[in-house]
Amino acid sequence: MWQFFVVLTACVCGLQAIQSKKLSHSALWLALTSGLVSLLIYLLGAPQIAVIELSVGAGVVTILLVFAINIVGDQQEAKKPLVPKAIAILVVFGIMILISSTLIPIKDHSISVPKTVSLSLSEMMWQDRFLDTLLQIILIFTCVLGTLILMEDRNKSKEREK
Amino acid sequence: MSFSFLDMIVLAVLCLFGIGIYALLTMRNLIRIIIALQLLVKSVILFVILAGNITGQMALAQSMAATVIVADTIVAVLGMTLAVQIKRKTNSLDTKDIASLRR
Amino acid sequence: MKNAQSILILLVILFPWLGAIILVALRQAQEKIQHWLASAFSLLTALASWLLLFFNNTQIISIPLGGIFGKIEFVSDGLAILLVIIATSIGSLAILFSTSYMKGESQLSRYYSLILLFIGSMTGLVLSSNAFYLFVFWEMTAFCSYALISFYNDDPKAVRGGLKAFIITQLGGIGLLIGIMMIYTDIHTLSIPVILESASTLPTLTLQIAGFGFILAAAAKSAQVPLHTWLPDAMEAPTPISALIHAATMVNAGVYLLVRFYPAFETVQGWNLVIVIIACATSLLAAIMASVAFDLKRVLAYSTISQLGYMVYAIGVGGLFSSQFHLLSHAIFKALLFLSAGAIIHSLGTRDMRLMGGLSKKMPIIRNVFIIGSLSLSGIPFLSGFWSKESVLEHGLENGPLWAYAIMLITAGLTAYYTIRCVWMVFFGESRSHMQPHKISSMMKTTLTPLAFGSLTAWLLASPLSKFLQSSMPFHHFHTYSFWEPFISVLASPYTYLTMVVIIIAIYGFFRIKKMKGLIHDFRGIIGFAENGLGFDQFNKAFVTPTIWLAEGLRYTQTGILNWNILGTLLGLLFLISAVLLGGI
Repeated sequence: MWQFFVVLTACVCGLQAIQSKKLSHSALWLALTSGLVSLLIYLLGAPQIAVIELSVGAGVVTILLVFAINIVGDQQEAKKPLVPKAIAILVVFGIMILISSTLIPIKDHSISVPKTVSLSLSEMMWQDRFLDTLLQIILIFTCVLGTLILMEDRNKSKEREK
Repeated sequence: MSFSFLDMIVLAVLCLFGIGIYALLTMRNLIRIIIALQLLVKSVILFVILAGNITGQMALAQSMAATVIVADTIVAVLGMTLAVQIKRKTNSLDTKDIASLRR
Repeated sequence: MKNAQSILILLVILFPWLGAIILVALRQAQEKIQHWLASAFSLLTALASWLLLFFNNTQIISIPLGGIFGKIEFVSDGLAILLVIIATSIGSLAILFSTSYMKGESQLSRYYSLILLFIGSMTGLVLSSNAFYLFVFWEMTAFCSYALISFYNDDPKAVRGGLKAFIITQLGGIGLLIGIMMIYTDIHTLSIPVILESASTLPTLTLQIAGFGFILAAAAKSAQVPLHTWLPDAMEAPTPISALIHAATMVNAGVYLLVRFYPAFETVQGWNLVIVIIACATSLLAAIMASVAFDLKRVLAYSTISQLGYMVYAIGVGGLFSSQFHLLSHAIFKALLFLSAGAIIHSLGTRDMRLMGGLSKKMPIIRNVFIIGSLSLSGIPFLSGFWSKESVLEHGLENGPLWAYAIMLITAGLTAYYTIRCVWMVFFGESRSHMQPHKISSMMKTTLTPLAFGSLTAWLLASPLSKFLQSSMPFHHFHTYSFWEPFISVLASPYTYLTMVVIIIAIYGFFRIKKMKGLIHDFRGIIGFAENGLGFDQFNKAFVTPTIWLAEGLRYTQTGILNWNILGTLLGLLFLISAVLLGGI
């Protein structure tokens, strides 16, 4: 029963994250949502991913958001949205109805998948899906290099070249 | 209707997905769009883990979820870097002001 | 897996990439450090590739990548080692040349990191033994070529040239991908030795589609007719790039592809004939266009296309060894010609041959090496170009159609004609303008010397090369020769002397050209047509202009507003999911 309240709180926090007037409050609501989603993941039986999601979602992303908001400024001018709210709500409900109608058969839990030899997560990551892991490592290095290049001050580097 | 735990998770996935998409459609500030993307991806991760639980292949689902987390964090980092640079160059983070394709 | 061979193979591929990453990270460093780092990385890679000579075998080095992704496999057999040595050695010479050619240019780190990335991808391409990863490396070399052609990215001609090269070679990439997929659907493996072994068990339709797809890929990459128009426009690149990519390495990738997969497709009906037709048309047309061009680099570009036609012709008539021998000698002398042309252009500041002339006394060393390269290109006896070209022609006479041999013979004459025209216009005669060349730096002279030496002596490697290639390629039939055999057979064949006569007629014709004004007047129409690229560019424009017009018209629908784009994506998703659901119900 208490799981239902966790789910409800997660949805409410998500709503608050996009709705609050100040950006820094949005970031904090996002961190709270991350924590609750991570709890749900743990309850589903994936403890490793729960830890990763907690540290990344509620830690790294929140800290980065706080830095970015500091640099950028905290104001949120309430302007009219470019897509009218009515159309947005219509589209959102349309998609949710369609997705839930594809998800409903899952509820019967009548999926029969052949049970392969159950590997542990580390075996899976480093042997079966080694290319995936390799590409993730390369991607992380590329991201770091890209961020360093993007964060340069263009005027200073032009002066240095002259 | 008997609400099992898995039904509640499906509800959570749908709600977070809907909230994320609504925010992507109506918000004009770039940082809010990044926050909305994070919510969207959280719902997807939850769904992948749910799928792993139902089919019993938890290890495969966990490695896929790890990949999604890495990719989405990289998107958030690069998105924030770009937002900071856009603010430095054009002094505005509004999607209408930065839509500067020349006509 | 951890033995010397696998370490050398991985070193040859990954070390240039490491150099590229380090050069990107050090992009604010001083210019001298960047020159030095790039040279060091390329020289060490060349050293590793020469060490691979000792590991010429068919052993497959494989790196497992998990369940469904297969394995990355590398094989260092004779064909691969030949191309790896050519790519890394000429690459390091081009980088050494660039240390003085690109002195003072901006964004040097981008230049060097792209060259190193290219060298790593090229070695990966030829060492790869898995067809899919061959495709991956193929696309990487295409990207590096595009990025390097448009290196001067504020010059609109360079950008257009780069885009044209990219689009045309991507068309070839489609052919390659289709061929690989067709083969995969039948035998469910992508490993090249397995494909070559079981090629006779594949259904005919698969072999036909794959064979012609591979011809499309090779024609696009090696600039054969009708996909040759990108190579002359790619001369907007800095000259060391033209020497490396568009003369010695990347354009050989198409020839390599055809040779590698030859045993699988040689029984496909019409495959050999189509290759011979394309090669002959290419050689002849390119030689005609080179005879009337006035831009020094364009003459060399057309010359490259024509010589690539020779290599492809050799493959078409079954002379696999002749084509590889010609590839080796062409790589050396064409790189020599391009680099010395670069020295001339750098010191004079112009590419137009009509403004040059009388440089013979002012640039003696460049004159000497350029003449050595030109003699090799024309097929003057006892330089390496002579032996390799005669070997190709002799094989063609034995095994191919007679009309093809006649066309290639005429092309050999035209080659001599445009080469001597080029040498004459640049070095001899009266100086046609008042441009004063400035001194050539010693680094440029030092890099040209090994190439000149190679042009003079590479023919001695013919017999060891043939044995080297045959010893590790079980599915191919390379002719093996004892040491003097190829030279004696060339000298003993009477048709060699026929070629000599044609060449002498061509050279004589050049010197007497003023007396033949009347003849030239009659040919004026064709010469004008040839100067405009024989109409191929008009053909391209007919396709490109409506596309650009359509794209400009549709541009008004791209507003750039993020929220509207997301709305469009979601509406599309809505449409797709409802289509799937309604279709299911």
